[in-house]
Amino acid sequence: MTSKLLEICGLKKYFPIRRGLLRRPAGYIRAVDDVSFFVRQGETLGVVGESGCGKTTMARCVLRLIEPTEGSISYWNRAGEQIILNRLNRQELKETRRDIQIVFQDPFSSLDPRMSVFDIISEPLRLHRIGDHRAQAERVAELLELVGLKAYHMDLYPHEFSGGQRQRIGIARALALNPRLVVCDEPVSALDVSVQAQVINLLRDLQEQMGLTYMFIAHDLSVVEHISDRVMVMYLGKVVEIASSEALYLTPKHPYTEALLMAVPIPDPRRKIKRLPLEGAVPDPSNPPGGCSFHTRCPYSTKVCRTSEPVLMELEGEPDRFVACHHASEITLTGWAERLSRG
Amino acid sequence: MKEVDDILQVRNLRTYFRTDNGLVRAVDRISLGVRRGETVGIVGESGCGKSVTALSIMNLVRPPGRIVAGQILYRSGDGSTTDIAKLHPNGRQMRSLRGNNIAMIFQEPMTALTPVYSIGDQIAEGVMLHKKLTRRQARERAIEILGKVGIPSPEKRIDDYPHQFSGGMRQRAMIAMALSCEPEVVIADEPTTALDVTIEAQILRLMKEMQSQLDLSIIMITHDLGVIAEMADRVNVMYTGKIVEHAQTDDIFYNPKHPYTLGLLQSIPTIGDKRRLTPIRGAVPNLLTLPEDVCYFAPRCPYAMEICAQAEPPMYQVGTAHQCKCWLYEGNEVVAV
Repeated sequence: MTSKLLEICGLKKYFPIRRGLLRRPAGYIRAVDDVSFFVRQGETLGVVGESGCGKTTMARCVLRLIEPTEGSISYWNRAGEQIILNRLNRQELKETRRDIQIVFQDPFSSLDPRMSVFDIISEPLRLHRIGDHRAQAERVAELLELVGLKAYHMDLYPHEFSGGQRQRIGIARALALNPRLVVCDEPVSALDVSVQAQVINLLRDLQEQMGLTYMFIAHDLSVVEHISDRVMVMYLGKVVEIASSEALYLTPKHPYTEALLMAVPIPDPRRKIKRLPLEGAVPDPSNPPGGCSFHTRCPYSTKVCRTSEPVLMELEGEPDRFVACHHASEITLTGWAERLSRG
Repeated sequence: MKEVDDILQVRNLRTYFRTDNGLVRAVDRISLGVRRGETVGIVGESGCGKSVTALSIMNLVRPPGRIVAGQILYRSGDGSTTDIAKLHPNGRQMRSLRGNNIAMIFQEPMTALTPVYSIGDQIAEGVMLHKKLTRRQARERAIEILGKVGIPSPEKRIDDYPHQFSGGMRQRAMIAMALSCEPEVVIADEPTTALDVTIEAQILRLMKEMQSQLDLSIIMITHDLGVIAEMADRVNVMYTGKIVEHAQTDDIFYNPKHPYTLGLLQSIPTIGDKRRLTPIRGAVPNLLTLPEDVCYFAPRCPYAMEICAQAEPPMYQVGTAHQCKCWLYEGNEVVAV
């Protein structure tokens, strides 16, 4: 088993809700609430969940684009030394950030319209004072070819490109410094289906060529399932399940995972089933329900779910499989099993 | 095609936009039919003209756009036929049809509902207008329909404003509004795209329930082939303003004929399938720069032939209730429009 590249322990990010004249916090939105997981060198960890589940906030904490409220983020550098990311000062952080880059969701708002493609892709090089102008131009040309664009594109501006091409530019920028970990935050959700597939394939090819590690965040379970080695499911700021993508698909262990799988419309008219969709909506994160935060919508919930909060635990006999459910080892999730057998 | 059954029939519709940069043929000679009680899907990527098709049927195309040619025949329950394309968008006849006989569900419930009126007032407005009910009767009707679409304690929620509703509830409210006047046809333009998957599943289920209760005809417009598979009886695949394939839903997925349809199907990841995707090369072209009378898909098509860049293919009959606009099927019977 390969070594860990990133480990998150007890990560919390609370946003204050300020009210009144003195702007005193009247409460907190627990966007990320005690999240722990790790990412292995060279793998793709998918992160999936519905809007407001905290996946983007979690990613931003990992990159320290925002400061976490609590918890530690460890990163193992090329020399194998453990670095606690959230204890670094500005200069140290800048050094480490060369290794950790991000691709954003919206290729329309994440590229500055007044910068040429050369300016955009070479910005990280300039910030880190790597090479002179000529060397930078060579590197940009190389990166453009790498992501399937042409060297002459560096003189153009973002508005001259389609959505898919812009996302390629965003990827080239993320790769400029030869990172080891790339956080992809909904990288294909703004793209058309036919172009989405191109970008997914590109990300897979780049991973193979450059030995990249991905943290791939998306709301689309089919995309996440397709690209990830392991998948982490989040609900209301918490991790409810982590498993290899095969295991997650074949035998989901958390009722919410099952509900997500059941909800995705499958592009196959012969596999239509009469499904009972999950009732209700995600509760208000400023006032989450007590006990298991999913119990209000869970068809399998019992008394214990309302009173005590389940902990994310490795399943007995199933290494690498983490579930936060009181009944993980005893209940059979019947809905999904039935659907699978029809496929 | 048994045209007698069609409650709505679009024939050779063209909706063009005259912009400063040139003419955009957003909808270009499309024909489709909708039968009573069925769901017809229109699927395609951004800019293919699927939303403009919806707006055309509602006669809501705004300048610089205009319905240039074609017919939109609506056959109402009493047997009379109206050509919507001939009606003035703001005329009396169109206004009595719109919302009353043909209603629309929009993608973004937050932008389609006005924030300054309560949900109840917004529903009651249409009911009072079309059904000549008093304010009190309209309010009762609004409560009833909100309950029907699954809003808990509707008699309390009716006075709420849209911002007090969650995304899924807003979409339910919008469906309630669309159904409030008991229309025969509902056009749903990406009704679940802005929603989370678990909420999407609820809304799709609700639409199916409403359909069977009210014998609705639904035009389901979406980019999501999963939603199409789940909902549609028949499917129209659109690309750059044209319908390129039309078939029963099962045929679209198991016997696709047009290279674009095939390309779309091979582009989508399916849960449990890790095989490498086969994307369509290139990107959707800019409608402004397209030449007339060629196949617009040819530059991206793996099967493109010489003729594809020279002439526009006609619609061929390629199977039972299955048509495809592609030169690969030359020799088959040409469908008259």
